[in-house]
Amino acid sequence: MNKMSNYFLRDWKNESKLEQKALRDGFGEMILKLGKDNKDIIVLNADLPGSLRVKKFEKELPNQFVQVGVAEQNMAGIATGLEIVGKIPFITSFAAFSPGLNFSQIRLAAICKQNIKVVGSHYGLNVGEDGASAQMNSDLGMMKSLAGITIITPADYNQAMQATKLISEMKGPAYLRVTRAKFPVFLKPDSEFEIGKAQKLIKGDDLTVIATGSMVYETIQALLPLIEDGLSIDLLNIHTVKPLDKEIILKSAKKTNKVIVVEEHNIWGGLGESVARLLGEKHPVEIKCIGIKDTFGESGSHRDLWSKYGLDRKSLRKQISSLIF
Amino acid sequence: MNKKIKELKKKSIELKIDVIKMLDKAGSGHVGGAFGMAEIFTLLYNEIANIDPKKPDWKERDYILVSNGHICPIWYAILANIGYFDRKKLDKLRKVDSLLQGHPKINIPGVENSSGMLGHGLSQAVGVALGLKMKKMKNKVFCIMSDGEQQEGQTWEAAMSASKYFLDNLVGIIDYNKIQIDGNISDIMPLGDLKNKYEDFGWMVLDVNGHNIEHLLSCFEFVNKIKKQPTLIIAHTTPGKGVDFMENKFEYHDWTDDGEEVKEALRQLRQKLSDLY
Ligand SMILES: Cc1ncc(C[n+]2csc(CCOP(=O)(O)OP(=O)(O)O)c2C)c(N)n1
Repeated sequence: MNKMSNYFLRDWKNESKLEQKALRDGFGEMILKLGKDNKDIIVLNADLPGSLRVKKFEKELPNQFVQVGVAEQNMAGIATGLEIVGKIPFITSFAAFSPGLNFSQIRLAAICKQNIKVVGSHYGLNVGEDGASAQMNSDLGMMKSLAGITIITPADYNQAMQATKLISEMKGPAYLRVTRAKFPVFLKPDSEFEIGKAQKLIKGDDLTVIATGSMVYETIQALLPLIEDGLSIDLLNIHTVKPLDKEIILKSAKKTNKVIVVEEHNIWGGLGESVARLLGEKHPVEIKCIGIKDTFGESGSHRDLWSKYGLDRKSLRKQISSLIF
Repeated sequence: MNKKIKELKKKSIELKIDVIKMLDKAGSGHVGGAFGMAEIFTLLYNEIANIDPKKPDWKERDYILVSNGHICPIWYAILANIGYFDRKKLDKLRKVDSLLQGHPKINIPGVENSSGMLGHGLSQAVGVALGLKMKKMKNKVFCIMSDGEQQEGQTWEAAMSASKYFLDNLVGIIDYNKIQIDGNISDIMPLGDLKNKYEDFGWMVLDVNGHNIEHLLSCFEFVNKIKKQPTLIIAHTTPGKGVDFMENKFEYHDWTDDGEEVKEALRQLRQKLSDLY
């Protein structure tokens, strides 16, 4: 049997009734609110304020905004300097360039646990037409390898708002990834959200499904018909890729002995690898990692790319079914 | 206007018409920088560079690299126009399974460098030029850059290394159109005196109007005489050149058309073309 959690908005199953919003908009709206309340919050940007949804922030809080031009390394360096004098800097660009191009600067800040926040947008194939150079599918791998960093990849607009607030309140380096593409808003804006604690969206017995970020709602849509057919699943939303909620994963895996991980990232270096390592060490079970299969993306529409690369609901359902039946 | 110059001018307008049609089909893409560089691309591929579209891997060819790869619609248009690949490929720009990606990749015939990460191309060009020197080859290397990417530190790292290695086989060309994504360069991050800066980095620098074909031709002729140092051509250009509502507007760095604008842009370009006949 399946038990639905109360994280969901009322119409969560019915996609046509849900608002579609980009995760970057959740970040943009919340950071403006936070900036108004806290003068120490500084947003830095590298000639992409529209893409990161911080144009309003720039306009309304010009004294808390730094535009560095096309210079991501400089942006990260300035941020670490601002942190030294007590500011809370948010560096914002495409994930492909930040952390993609300024990883060493961020790494140095992380070594000293400096309180800087990296917001990378346009991750995944869902970026679409701009093609492989803009579609970042390596960021989790890079950032995950930094000791002591917090990594959050929210599942919808509401969660992106919550995540923005929480990383501004915590001490230490954090990485927030958001999308350009719009996704259904299906989680309650005030649902319980704690860094490092996964959300059990659906409770069941036969199979553990773990999803993160842009893949959470698509996975739900993949699962719903299977659930109707009687499949009983544990569905975990791992919004915090690091630190990983080991407890909830282990508990679920011990119950179901079958785990599937779904993410929009290269399967090398992604969340699936973290889960596989955890289970390999503590409780080996059958596991399947669904993601981008060690290849780069290409130009195309979001939906065309998802179906070509096996991340749309139909392909997900097929892959999940093949594991259980 | 002499005949040759007129023909080149015509060709540059035809390329822009191709670009509008391509972006219309693709639904998005970069137009401002592409239009500002139409004459320079036309000249490089038709008059200046030693190339053979039938032999893209020819060892003796000159290399044309584009660092600001987002302006690739104009690059793809000229490559198709002179026969590097079938024109039909232009219709699939930015679509799944297309040869022509939103940002260029080196598997495209005629494309010498992959891009999409600004500030990187001049380093690639230094590598090509240095490699050719090591092989005692005489080929020239042209590297097109944007003004926006002069803000990247890597551009200056590359500039420094080009003069250290006396790369007189390297010609940089900056599309100095004074805009970037979010506004005018002077507001986003001023570049100061580019000419002086490159001269301090050991380059020979020429300033030219990027739409004046006669001047560009003599500029490229002069470049051949420079020895023991790299040359930079600062091309002063008008972004969106040729379509009045796009000109000098950073909002047309990239473009998602609404159908109406496509029609008007094509009308204006066709008018300019017929004026030349
Ligand atoms: C390293 C890097 N950072 C950011 C971007 C995103 N980006 C693409 S074009 C662009 C604006 C650059 O200005 P410019 O090249 O002068 O634009 P144009 O003159 O063609 O309008 C930016 C920031 C990028 N492609 N690469």
